[in-house]
Amino acid sequence: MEASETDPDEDDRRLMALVAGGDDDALRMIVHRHHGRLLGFLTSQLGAQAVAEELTLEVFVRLHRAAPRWRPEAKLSTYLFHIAHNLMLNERRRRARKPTSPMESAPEPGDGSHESQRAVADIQEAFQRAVATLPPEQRAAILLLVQQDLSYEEIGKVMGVSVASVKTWVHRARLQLRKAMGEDFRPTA
Amino acid sequence: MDHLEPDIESSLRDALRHGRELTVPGFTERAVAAVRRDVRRRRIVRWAALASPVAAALLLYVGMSAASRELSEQDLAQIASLHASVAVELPRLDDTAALAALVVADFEESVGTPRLEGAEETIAALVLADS
Repeated sequence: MEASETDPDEDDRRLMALVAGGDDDALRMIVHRHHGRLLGFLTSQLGAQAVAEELTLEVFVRLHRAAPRWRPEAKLSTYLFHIAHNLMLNERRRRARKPTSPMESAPEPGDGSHESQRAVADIQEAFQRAVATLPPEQRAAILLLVQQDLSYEEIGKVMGVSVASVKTWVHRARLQLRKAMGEDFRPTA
Repeated sequence: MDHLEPDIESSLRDALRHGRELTVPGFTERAVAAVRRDVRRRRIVRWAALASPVAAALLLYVGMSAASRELSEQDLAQIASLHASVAVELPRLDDTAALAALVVADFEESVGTPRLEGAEETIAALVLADS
């Protein structure tokens, strides 16, 4: 199974048609191509990589179930993020019923040995902590926009909301991050 | 759309980009295995969903047959007791004509109606259809 070097979206569509026909190699190709970003997004959302891995596995299980009915109306990556977002919301609801297990875990401190690396790591950790305190919709929107490079339209499809809602959430997220980082962030001269 | 100050914006981008993609060795095979497990599980659930109504129908059929057999035997015993002066040999369940004749005779006697034309055949057909 070879992925074409031309259009990744077109290639995804071709692979999905093969997956619908029961082709495991095509499924492998799709997983190999997309799992890294899904895992990055879910880990940033949930804070725990182990849980993010389980949810990412479930994303591909759901994708496989839907393969015969899947219509390429949007990019496959948008569809995958949509599944991941819904699973993440379910996980939040599940954890909300179990208040003993913390939803967010602060990122582990970096291990940079040099001072400059240490400073960069500190800033990154401060941002990650600030993002972790955002309300769920704002956090999802800003992560999909800044981290995953999705367009506002794609984020709307992923979250099942209008573009206007996405823009509002992103705007509020930026305001809150500015407020949170205003005290801690010291730009280097 | 307002943005953060350029320094903060770029730091945010850097911080989030840091976790943009996480590659886990062996993840692809884990995903394929999870999909296969799901396929197997759904196949079992589908078969169970098909088999359950069939099993229920079979149980119902067997249960109802036993119940109706018991009921018929009770009815026959009751009818026979009403016709105690006449020596009646209890028919078997599958002897529907005899059963129908007994039921009709019993009904006519208890209600006092004239002979019900064709009733025996109708009841026999009903009993047969029910059994």
